[in-house]
Amino acid sequence: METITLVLSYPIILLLAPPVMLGLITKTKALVAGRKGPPVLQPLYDTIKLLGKGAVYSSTTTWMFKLGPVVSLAAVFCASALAPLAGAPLISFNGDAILFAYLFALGRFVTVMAALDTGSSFEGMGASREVAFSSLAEPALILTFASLAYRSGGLCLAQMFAPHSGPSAAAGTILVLGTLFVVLLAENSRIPVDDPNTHLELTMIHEVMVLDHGGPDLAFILHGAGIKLVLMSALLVRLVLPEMPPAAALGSLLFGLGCVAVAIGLVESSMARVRMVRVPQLLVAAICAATFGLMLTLR
Amino acid sequence: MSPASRFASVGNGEAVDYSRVPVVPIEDFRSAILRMAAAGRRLCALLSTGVAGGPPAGLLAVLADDAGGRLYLAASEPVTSYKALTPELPQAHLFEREIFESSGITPEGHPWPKPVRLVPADKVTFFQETGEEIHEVAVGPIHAGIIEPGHFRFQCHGETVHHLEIQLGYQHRGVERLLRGGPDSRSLSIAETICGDTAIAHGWAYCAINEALGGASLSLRAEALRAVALELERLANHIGDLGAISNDIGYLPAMSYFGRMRGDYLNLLMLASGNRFGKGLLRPGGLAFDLSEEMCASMAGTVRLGLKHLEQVAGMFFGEPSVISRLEETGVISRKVCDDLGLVGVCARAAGADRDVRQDHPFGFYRFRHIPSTILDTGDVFSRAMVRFLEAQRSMEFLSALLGHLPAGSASGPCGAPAANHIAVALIEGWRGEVCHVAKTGAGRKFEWYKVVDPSFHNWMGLAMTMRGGEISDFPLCNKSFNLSYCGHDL
Amino acid sequence: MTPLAACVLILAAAAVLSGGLLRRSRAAGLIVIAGLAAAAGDIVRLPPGDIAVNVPVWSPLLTAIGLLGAGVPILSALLWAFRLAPPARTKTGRGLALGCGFAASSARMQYTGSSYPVPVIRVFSVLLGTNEEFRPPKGYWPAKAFFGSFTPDPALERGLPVLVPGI
Repeated sequence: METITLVLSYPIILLLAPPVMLGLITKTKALVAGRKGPPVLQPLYDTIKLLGKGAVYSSTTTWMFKLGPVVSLAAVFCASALAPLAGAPLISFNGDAILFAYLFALGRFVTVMAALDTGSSFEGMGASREVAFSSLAEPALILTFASLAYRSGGLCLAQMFAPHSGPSAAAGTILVLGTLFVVLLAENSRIPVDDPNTHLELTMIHEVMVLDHGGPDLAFILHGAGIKLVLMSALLVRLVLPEMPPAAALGSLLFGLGCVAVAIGLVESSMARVRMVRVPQLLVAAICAATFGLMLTLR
Repeated sequence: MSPASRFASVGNGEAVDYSRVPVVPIEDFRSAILRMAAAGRRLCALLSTGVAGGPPAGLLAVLADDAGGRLYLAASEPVTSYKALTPELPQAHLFEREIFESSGITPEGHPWPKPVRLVPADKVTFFQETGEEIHEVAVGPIHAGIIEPGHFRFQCHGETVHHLEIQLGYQHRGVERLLRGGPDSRSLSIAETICGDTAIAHGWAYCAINEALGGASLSLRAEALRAVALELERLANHIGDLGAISNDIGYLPAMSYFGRMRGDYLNLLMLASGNRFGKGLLRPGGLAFDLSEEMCASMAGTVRLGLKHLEQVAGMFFGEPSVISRLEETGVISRKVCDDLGLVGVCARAAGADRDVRQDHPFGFYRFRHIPSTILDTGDVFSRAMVRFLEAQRSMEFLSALLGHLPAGSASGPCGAPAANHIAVALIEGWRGEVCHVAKTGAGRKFEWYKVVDPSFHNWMGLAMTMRGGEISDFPLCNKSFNLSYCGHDL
Repeated sequence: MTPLAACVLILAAAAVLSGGLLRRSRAAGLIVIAGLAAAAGDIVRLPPGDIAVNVPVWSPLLTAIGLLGAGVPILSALLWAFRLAPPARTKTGRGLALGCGFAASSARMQYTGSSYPVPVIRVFSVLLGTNEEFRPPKGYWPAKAFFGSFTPDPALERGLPVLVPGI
């Protein structure tokens, strides 16, 4: 029973949760703006439609361009094996938190290579912004992992994100949650860092990197971005949820993912984008918060 | 001789016999224009009265004295080349390029003699900055959004823009050539489609030219209804621009609310004329349709309710700190650049220049009831957005007062055929800025030539100057805050 | 019924259903991939946290890391294979780079190596000490402009001369 739940949970979380989460965010933003918005499953329909299309490749690109979407999706699939979702993760060992962060970095690397392969200034612009902001978000993430690792005694995601009790952990947990939320907004191109609905290439970060991809490549990229959002949200959710039997754990995880989606939608509706030069300031603030959380934990 | 004696003085919307316009040698023409400009007059139009391949023709200039409320016309003798005005008078730059392209008269010493509209695809040159580390970003003519075609060439290093050059001309339809030989059954429609979202202002300018040349006078009701239509057009576009600016900065609630409100005013224009942009409403002599009592009352009610909603949404928008921090100090235009380049309209008023044709050269109903002009002085995106909001507010107050007390009378009247050998000038304050139409009739009482100057013709260079030293990620926001017309520039 | 057999049956059913409903072999293939990953997980599931490092002949830790490391290339190869076999009525072609609607791109439009790190350089500009030579375009219609920059190597050009004077 437990194994079946675990086995079933992975397809649900890897295949269905990403489009539903993205759809929930869009629906929340639409409802706040007084519109009805597209159906919640719309990103799933888009992905399926894209899988059935052909593709046009730019004549300036090479095999690197085709490799990008494929390796980035494979990397996030493998990272999902490390994340504690509904219960214990598939693979877990001491130090897997670092591998988790760097599987995402591998995906980012090949996407950036594919973007620079086109030789167009737009993709180069997006790549430059993406790596700059990720290089500032990474210390925040690592510092957060450090404080969680100190508290749990090892650099293992399953132990770090297991629920802890006790008031002494509360302050540190709040700071960790805040930092992880800001890193989530930055890594997944949400407002205030980037506007995912914009059509203006000169202002985009992630979307303009993948401007020349179409068809199945775009489906892989969209789905990979969705899985990244789900994994990072799942870590956030696991930090607050108490210990539960597996079926309830899956249900509460999905409920938690829905809450995070609504929270992201509300944050996106309530503020404008930050100017591009101010995004590093936002991320340095996240680094400071993470440092403070680490100091609180070490005390 | 005083410089003014080289000019014929005329009011806005008046016609004068062409023989009264002094024709002077080109050096006198040039120096008189420079002296007038130094005295604070503004160049509204500079054109050549000939065509490429035809007999040599001279230049004609229209200058505006905003303080005195008069327009000055001067003509020059036929020339094939002359010393360019641009190095000493930058606001003439695009006019001289246009003269070079259309009639072949060479402005010698012009720093950037590129064609304006008919650029051959294989001979395109742009300013290029030297240095291996500079890359160019070319945007357009096809854009990601459904907007008009135009090409922007940036010289950038990383995120900083060092130079922007804008090349338009993709929508050249030959409007001035089509209007030549009129007025005929198509002329009014052509004038209204010069720039689709400024149909009322361009249509009014065309009608004013015809009424000046034909000696028609309008009833007070027709003037009032024309003012209603112009203000409705201004409202719809200003509110739509605020929604577009919210969209570009990612502030989604305001985008939806402003977008919905824009529809209300387009629907009022549709109620009045059957067309959401008011095409077909104006005609020489008055209007094609009158407003009934019930229509006036319901329009007034919509405007009053709309004023409350606008103030609420604008309060939310301008009160949000992330919005203010995004808009302030972005895309700054200084007062000096504004005066040098002769910018008009919202962009000029947001930079501190007190230019509003409704106030400086009052026309129509604005001679009897004034709308105070809105001036802010920081010249950034925030001030352009704020000017739009304040102008919308003042238009709504004007409308709700006027719709309750429209003068009685008929909405249309006769307009005679144009007089022969006369020249007429009409300036209208469209929602972007000053729309200028200049026309001359020949001996056969038809237009010998017809010149249209859309406000965008003055303002595109202003956009190019705001981006110098700016961030490339601010460009869409600056472009949206100017919101200039591509087809009005291209004609 | 072992858990492995159960999940293989479930996934086969799901693949057939989705293949039939959607008439797309690729969607079915992706579901099978996810199922294989889950099934593989069932085999190598390890208790978290307490992996012993003193290695017997067969090491669970290294097997786990090896499988995860192999996972990326294996999954990539599977995804590439599915992308290479499109449904019959689609086609793949070659065209120009999208480039925001401007087709005739030139070598000047490629992002330069100096432009690429500009956002990072701005944040760490105090530490890097980049020298710029910039002759900005002057006036409304500039005749020329120039930009060049140079970042001295922190170790060779800024560190070493300080530490070992005279170099």
